[in-house]
Amino acid sequence: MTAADVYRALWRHKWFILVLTAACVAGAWYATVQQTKRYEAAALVRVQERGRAAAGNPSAALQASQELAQTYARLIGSGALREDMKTLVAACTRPSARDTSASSCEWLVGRRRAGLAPGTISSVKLTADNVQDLDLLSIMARSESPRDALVAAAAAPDALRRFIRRTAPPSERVVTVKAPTSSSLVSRHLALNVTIAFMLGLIFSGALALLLELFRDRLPEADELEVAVGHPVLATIPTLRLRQRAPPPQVGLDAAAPTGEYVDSEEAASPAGSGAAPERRA
Amino acid sequence: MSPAFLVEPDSASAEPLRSLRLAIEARLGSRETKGLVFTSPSPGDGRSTISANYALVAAHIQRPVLLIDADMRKPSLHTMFDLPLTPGLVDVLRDRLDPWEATHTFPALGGLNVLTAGSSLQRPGDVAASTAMGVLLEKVYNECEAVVLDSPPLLTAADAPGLASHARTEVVMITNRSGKRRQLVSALRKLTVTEANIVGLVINREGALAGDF
Repeated sequence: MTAADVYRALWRHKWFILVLTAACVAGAWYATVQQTKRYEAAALVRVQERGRAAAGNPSAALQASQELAQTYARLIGSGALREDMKTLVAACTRPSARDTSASSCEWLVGRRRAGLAPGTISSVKLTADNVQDLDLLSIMARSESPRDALVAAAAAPDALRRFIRRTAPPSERVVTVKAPTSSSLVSRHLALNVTIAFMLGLIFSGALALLLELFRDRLPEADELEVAVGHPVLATIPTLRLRQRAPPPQVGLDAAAPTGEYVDSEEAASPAGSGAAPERRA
Repeated sequence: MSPAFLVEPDSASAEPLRSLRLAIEARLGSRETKGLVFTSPSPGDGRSTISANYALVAAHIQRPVLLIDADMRKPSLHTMFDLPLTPGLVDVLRDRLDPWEATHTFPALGGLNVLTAGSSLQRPGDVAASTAMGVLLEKVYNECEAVVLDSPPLLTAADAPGLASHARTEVVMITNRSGKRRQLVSALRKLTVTEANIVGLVINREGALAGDF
């Protein structure tokens, strides 16, 4: 199969390819639009190891902090903060916990406590990234609820503090650099998804068209057909325009066997002649 | 009712058929072929339309031309030309009539003569290769410049090889552009096995017609 054959085959199936590609694009658009909206909020923290910084070696302290940030990023991603988050939210949202300005509940200051539940907040998906070349850790909370995402991101530094207090040496501490102020809708990548669907649809439908062509057992072009079957192609007849004209006039012919005499239709036309029936030889 | 399914001899639609006639003439050369059996692998390939229009175009140049509806299973030329089905080919063969008694002539169509299929038969397959058919064809070949036979599709009936087994008779195979290659090869094999002479192929419905001059 030459490139020209491929081109011809694709051109013959152009409507099939277009319709299938359009269906892929429509499907991708619909699936993307139907996706559940997700919101994201982020807090920025610094994890420090006080001992080395105090020793007057800032470079070593930075490197240690970066390593710590990377370690905690992995821990947060693995869901290690879930229990601490749950405990924290439970402690701060209890009806008896009136003073939200207490150090462990500062994250709740200015936020509505109504409807906050430890289970809901702790189930918010937390991820973390070490900020490139810095000893900073960006903690991101993702949820279907914008408030839950915001509250979880706000509580995450305190939950991390609790976790470190429980598991790490006292020299490590967490400083909140930037608390989250709002949550934002995570993009559903509509344009990207539609573009990918368009490209894949085009490739898939093109491949399918070629496959159909292969199995369709189609007649080859006239010159190839002659070679394939060993007989000449006398003519190719396009779709003809067939007539529905007024009936030709009838004239009398010699009733004997055909003589080869030809009566031209114009000569044969008579003003009165309008019969449709041909002459029956007898 | 006027004859439908026919091209205007002066229109662009007639040109491909004129080309076909010239190609057949060139291909036959000095051979004494008089009868052309138009057949195709499958039904719906446009066999009757092409054979009728070929005969119409030929009738304007070669005279006389006889078009015979040799499709005794599913005749259609009588509908095309708005003719009674009987008497026709079968009646001529059965009752030993003079073929011209059952033939209809169209003076306004270049004097084209049409013989319809006639009465229905129980075993039409036996007729095509019969001696009676041979005698009939020999008679009309002697009296006509060209005889066009519209026969049933090859993959459903073996009439075309039967017709082509008579002297001075050759086959024109019509195939639809959207037809299957395998079917065409099977049909041609049927003809080759019976040693029928094949003039060549005609590809029907190949694109759209070019405009008039």
